[in-house]
Amino acid sequence: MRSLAVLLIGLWAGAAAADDLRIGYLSLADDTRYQQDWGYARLILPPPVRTIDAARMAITDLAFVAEAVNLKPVLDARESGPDGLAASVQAMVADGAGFVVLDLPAPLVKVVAEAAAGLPVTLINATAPEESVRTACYPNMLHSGPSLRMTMDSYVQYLRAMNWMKVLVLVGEDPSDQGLADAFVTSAERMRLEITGTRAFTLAANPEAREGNNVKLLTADVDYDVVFVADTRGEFGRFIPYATQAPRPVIGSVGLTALAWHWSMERDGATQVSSRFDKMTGGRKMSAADWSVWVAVKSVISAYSKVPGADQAKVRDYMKSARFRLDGSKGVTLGYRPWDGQLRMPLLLATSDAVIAIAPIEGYLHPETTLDTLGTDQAEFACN
Amino acid sequence: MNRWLFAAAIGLCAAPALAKDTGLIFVSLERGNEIVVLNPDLTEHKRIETSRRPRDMHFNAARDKLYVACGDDDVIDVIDIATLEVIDSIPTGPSPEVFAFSPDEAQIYVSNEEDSTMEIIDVASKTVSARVPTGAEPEGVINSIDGKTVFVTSEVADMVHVVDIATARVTKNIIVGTRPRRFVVTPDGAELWVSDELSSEVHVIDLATLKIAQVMSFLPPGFRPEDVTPVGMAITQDGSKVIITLGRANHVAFVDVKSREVLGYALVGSRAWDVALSRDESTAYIANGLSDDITVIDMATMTPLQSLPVGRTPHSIRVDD
Repeated sequence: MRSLAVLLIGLWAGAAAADDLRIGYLSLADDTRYQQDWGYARLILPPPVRTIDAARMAITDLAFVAEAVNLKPVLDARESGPDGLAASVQAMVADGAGFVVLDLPAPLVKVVAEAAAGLPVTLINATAPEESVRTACYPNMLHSGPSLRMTMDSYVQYLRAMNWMKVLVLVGEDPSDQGLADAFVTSAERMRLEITGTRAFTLAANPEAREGNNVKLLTADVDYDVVFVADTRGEFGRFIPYATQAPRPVIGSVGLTALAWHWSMERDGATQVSSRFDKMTGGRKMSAADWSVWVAVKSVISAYSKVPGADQAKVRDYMKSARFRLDGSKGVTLGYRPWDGQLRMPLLLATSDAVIAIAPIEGYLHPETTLDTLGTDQAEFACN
Repeated sequence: MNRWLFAAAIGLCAAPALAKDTGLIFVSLERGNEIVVLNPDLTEHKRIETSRRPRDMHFNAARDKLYVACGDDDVIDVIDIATLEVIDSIPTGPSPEVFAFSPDEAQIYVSNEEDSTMEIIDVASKTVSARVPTGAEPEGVINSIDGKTVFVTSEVADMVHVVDIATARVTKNIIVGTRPRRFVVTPDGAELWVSDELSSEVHVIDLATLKIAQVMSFLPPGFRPEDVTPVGMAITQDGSKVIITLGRANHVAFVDVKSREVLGYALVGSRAWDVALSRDESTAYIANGLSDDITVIDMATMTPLQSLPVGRTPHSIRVDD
């Protein structure tokens, strides 16, 4: 009897382990966003490596914090195909994860959100920028990556500040390219930029399609100060800079890009974050997706350390309150908006090796915080 | 006599006598890889080439040497005050940023921001006697008055580590505000003040209990809390007043230690970081990291007197008087 009791206690301690802070990380097997897509010249086009390293780095970074409040962060990382995601998130919650960070495309974020509805868990969407994930208003979801609208508002603020008012929009063939272009046009028109043309480009080499595959023709017979390129895959876009009919800068998927993070940011402790990541991954540059996962995990551990003893729902409430001041190494304090769970943050307008500007651009004002000049503000926000 | 000649003559005969209390102002230029030395009248005296990325600086007690942590060459350079030349270098771990001496100057405590340690370096042998693991991006380092304890901030872990020097161990972690940066200890040894860059606060820790005694926040007129990023601090010798740089808010705050009241704010340059007081405490000098200049402040009236350009990314400022 006694040995049974000891065994039971042992089991109970093992399973509940009062001090474990289990954080889930859920990703999609064969996520096309991370597919190693080789161009004809065998260049790697999209970011080829997954963000799990960034989750691990956040746990290492905050080891001292967790220890100080007697918590032991444990990363429960799982990957599955689209059909297994719902079961995975439910299993994570059953195993004790109060927060699960999602590195998933938007449609699958919704699948997981529905599978986790009513469960004692907070989901953090790190890498799906679509507005629809936000306007779905899942009560237990936060978003650590920027929304599409935040990204587009960053470009638009910069164009206004530079007085580059006329924009030619080039749209690719991938279904998400149209979404990018539409989001840009919405932001641009709101700030009274002039869209002087919207043209579709194609990778087809067929001479009959030359209006769409020849960059000079695509960019001729129209007046513009700047070209906005919507090209998720990046295979066509990289041939547009320096090839336009008029000598004009290129922004969007190529050229100057609005990002949550860029390794060349060298202020506010950003260098230290990037170089820790370099060291940990054997020389990989920290991407924007990596940063969004890192800051998600970091925000969870930081919040637990400031409200010791609280359960995940209370911790989430704290994260959405004005009292939560998160350091994302971007020079200003970050926090989750109470109305949509979106992380407020500055975005970097970067070329391949330099940060040219940081949005919000100086001069854009807001009654509460200038960070809310990026993205859908409270007054305009409506759940779908 | 020609005024110009007269000035030159004074300069000539004064120079050899000035080995101590020179009145010279030293500003480390993080991205200029040099220290600019200014005369008391703020004219340029010399530029001292240092190892790369010079940051925090401290005089020894005799004030015949100035030590400067150089982040990109992983050394603390030693500058001779009489000749204003680098005469030695002490190797450290990766990316030294801020350091402190033990009271007997036999040891240096230095935070290495890239490998999350505080090193204890034996100055005479230039060897590391201990490495104390800290939270990520350790920054501020300061000694207790009795020299037995060293305090270190971790910018990422939002905490102050209490390090017992005899055992080289962290004995306590105190959670403070977001991104804690620098310290001052009150001269009576009773309080430790910590600046929290991203929560716009200063935490006051009672050193007898190691508990938070007070949290102060700052808001110069016309600014928002998120613009206020406190970093550098200096305290008067009588322990009555602290001057705090507010970073992005481009102001410094003057605080009465006893009442904790903000006595006033003064406008300085962009991203004010470090602050140093002259010995007579009539003047404060502020290093402005993003506008590449320093601001001179009259302490009596708490108003800026002038700003002057010094070079790329001023980090720390010290006055030899």
